[in-house]
Amino acid sequence: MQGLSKTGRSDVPEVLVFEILHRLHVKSLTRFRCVCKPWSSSFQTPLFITKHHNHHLRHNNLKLLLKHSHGNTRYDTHYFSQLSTDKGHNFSVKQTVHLPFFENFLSSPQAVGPCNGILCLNDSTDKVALWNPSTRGYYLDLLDFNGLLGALLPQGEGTEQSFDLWVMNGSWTKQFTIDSVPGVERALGF
Amino acid sequence: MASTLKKIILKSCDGKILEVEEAVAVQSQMIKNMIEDDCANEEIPLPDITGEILSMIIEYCKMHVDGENNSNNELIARDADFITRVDLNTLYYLIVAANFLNVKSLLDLTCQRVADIIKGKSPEEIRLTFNIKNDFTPEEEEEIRKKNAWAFDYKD
Repeated sequence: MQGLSKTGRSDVPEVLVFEILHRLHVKSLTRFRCVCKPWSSSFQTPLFITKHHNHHLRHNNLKLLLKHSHGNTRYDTHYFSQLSTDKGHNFSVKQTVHLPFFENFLSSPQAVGPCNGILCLNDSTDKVALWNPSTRGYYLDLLDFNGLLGALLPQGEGTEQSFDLWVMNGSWTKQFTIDSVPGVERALGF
Repeated sequence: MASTLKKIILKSCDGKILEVEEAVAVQSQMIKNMIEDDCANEEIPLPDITGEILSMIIEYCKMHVDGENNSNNELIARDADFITRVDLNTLYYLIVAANFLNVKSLLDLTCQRVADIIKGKSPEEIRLTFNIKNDFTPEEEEEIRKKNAWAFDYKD
């Protein structure tokens, strides 16, 4: 890890730099992905994510999420508000989180969850997605696998992809890998 | 009663000798382990910690021992008063020393303080603060900024 040491400052080892970074909110971390490549990739490792999640759970740094719509008609846009639970902020709106793609749909999507910070969204057209309002990341390619929620995650690039099948059965577990089939761009489901 | 008055002798890297009451010294898990292993009867050399930083850490530990009977809110207020007096450069030294001496609550306090200072900064400011070289091409950086535009809205 580069940093902290080259201008005569105290040499803070990498592990302590991350001791600082996992205390930041997702918004700062997302912005700091631009700092350098090692930071960008570190923030997305399961180790960092788990440490970050546990820290904020332990310190009650959780933001209440409210679902909103402008006005009362079904043509209105839908969005979420993250409320601050920080001391003295008295549940003021911290930020507005827009839905990734349901925003201009005719009817409001249902939001189920959250489970570990992830919401499941679906609307009347059977569009279903997993959505993480903190990172704004979402995942669309969900499928039914023997009555359980499944997801196919592509590995590799372009048409050389293989797919891992993950199934939600209490927790996400990897079932098997589908080897790449020449000319196949994505798998649709079973 | 005699054991609580026992003094532990600490020696900083710049030769400063500090006598500390055992009750204060054991706030450091490292020194506590040394005492339990009967290795703290002579002066303990601390090769990477200056006298200035060591004095600050002892001040912090003393504050916590003296404030044992105070309410939680009072301790938080004292912690805040202690940490806001420290500049960023000194904070780095404190973090390294708190980690070495294993004073968990001070490590938490100092890391959280740095996090609070840097949370609203731009990537450019962070690179300056931590002396990090940008290894992205301008195109790569622009791509990340574009994909995460919401995180660059500094309002909140």
